[in-house]
Amino acid sequence: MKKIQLNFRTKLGVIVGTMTVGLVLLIVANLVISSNVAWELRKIHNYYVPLIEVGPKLEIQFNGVMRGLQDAVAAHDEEALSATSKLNQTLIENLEKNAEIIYPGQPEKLQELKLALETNYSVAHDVSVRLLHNETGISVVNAMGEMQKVFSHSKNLLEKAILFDEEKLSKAFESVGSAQKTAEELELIISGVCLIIIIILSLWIGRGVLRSLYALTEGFKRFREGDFLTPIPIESDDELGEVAKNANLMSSKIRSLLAELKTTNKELESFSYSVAHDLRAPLRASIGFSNALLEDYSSILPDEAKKMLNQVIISSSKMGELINGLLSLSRITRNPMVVEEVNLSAVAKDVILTLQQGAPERKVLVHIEEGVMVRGDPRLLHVVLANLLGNAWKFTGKSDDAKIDFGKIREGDTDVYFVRDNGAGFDMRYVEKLFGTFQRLHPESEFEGTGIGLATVQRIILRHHGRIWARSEKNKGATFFFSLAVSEGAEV
Amino acid sequence: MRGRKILLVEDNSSDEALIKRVFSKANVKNEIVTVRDGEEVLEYLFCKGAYHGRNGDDVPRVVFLDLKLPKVDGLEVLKQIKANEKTSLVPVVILTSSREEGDVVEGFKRGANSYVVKPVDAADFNDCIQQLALYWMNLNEPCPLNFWGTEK
Repeated sequence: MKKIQLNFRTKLGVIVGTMTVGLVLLIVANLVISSNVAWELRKIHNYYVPLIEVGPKLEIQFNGVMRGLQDAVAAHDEEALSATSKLNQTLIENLEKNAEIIYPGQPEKLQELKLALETNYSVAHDVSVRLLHNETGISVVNAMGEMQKVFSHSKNLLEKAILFDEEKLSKAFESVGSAQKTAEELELIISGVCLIIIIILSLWIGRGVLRSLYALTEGFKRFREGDFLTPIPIESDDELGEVAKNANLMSSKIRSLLAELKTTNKELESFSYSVAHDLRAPLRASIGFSNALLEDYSSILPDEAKKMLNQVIISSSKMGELINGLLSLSRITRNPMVVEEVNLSAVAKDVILTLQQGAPERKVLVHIEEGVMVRGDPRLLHVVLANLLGNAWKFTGKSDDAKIDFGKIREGDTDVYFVRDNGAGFDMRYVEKLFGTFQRLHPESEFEGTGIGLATVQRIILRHHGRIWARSEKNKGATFFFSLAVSEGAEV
Repeated sequence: MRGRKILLVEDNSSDEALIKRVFSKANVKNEIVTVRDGEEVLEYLFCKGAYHGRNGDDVPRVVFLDLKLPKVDGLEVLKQIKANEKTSLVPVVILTSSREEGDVVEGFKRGANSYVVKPVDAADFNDCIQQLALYWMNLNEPCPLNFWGTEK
């Protein structure tokens, strides 16, 4: 079965649509049902209310006609007798007038009742006349019997016609009630169905969203931990799926970049290996053979030749140092950083101690601020301070009141660390060259060095996401400032 | 009696000459056999190729092994020396310019008996070779041949 894949826009549309359709259905059903109920009620009203009025009236009139006849006979009043005809006429007229109330849509029944009433009257009138004229005999008795029959027939019909039918009424009300009940049930069904559809859709969407979000969370966690090999599973074809797809594209890009970086690093490693191995060997040879010459053929070499050989040895040694510097520089860039709490004050003291031990005759006034704590790679930060303090030590070598300070200042919202000396300093015009590899601002005859130290320091500071800069005035000393901004788990 | 041979694996002729000079100054009389690439070491030790017919029981007293070698690299050579029953007990001293941590670790992992970085400074280099000659030719007691080399 093919899984139905819709995006959120469509899913939301389906929900809103369902709700709208449900609402419209409810309104229509309500209208239909309420108009039905109203119609039923009106029917009841139109039928029963007049009947309640008209029925008793007709009955009274009917009784009135009969009593009129009786009274006329009893009083022997011919005039009263003829007056009853008018009464009966009124009764018939009333009957016809209210035909629609009594027999709605049943003209034949009306005719039957009318006929019965007219027959009744004519028979009763006929008997009344004969009684009035004091007729006796069997024929009158027969006529009276006939009259009795006709009378009960007509009275029966009339009573039936105007009977207030409670059963019918309750049935009518029942039908109204059932119409209302049907309406309620229908509404319940419609809202129930809509609700179920909405709930199912919401659950469907919610589940999809949760699954996608879970996959995304897990995936990004993996990315953060450096696992770019496992892509985020695409859980849905919707907007979140799009996010996952893009994240996967990004991760594969990172992966290829990492692979590239790895290759570059490998190349660099093999390069430095070559430097270590291949550049040192010839140096050692030139020094070694120069030494061998000096040792083995000392007796036959002129002094000038010996001097020259010594120069060869010195230059070659110098180059060895340069190679070592380059190697350590490349090692600093390559090895992974170990970030921890480092007491810079302690490191500075340690460095100064070593420097002092290397030159016990020197008197330098050193001030190290206590308790300067930073986060960084302790080994690399030691290299930084060894170079900066070493430089300060070196460039104060020619002054009698040498002073070296290490401390911390606050600049804006960053901590800035500094190493200050009152030594030879440098010309600020060349400050740009200060941190370049093999760049030196002093002649080697004045201050020895390889020109790699500050380049190394700068690399280390950059790996700590920090900044390094310097201020100086020639012969008035130099100050080197640096900041560190390494965060937990940060790796360059 | 010159004793068992010393196998020097060194592709650099200058280093070879300097090492031989120090050994001779240190009064080492043993013959120093020099091979110049990884393949040649293996052929020599296992009496193959150019060394076909060489007496395989004549195992060196010590091997000085450079790591960066033409054809087969030093670490691979070391592995094969230590994997072969006949040569597995020959002390192998890695003598190289590389102080790369990876090389050191891998060297010892593969059974190197010593790892010496050739000093850059020529004087230090001389001292170093001299001490090696002293230690491996005088102090270190080699495993007797009849316990392993001659056994089939």
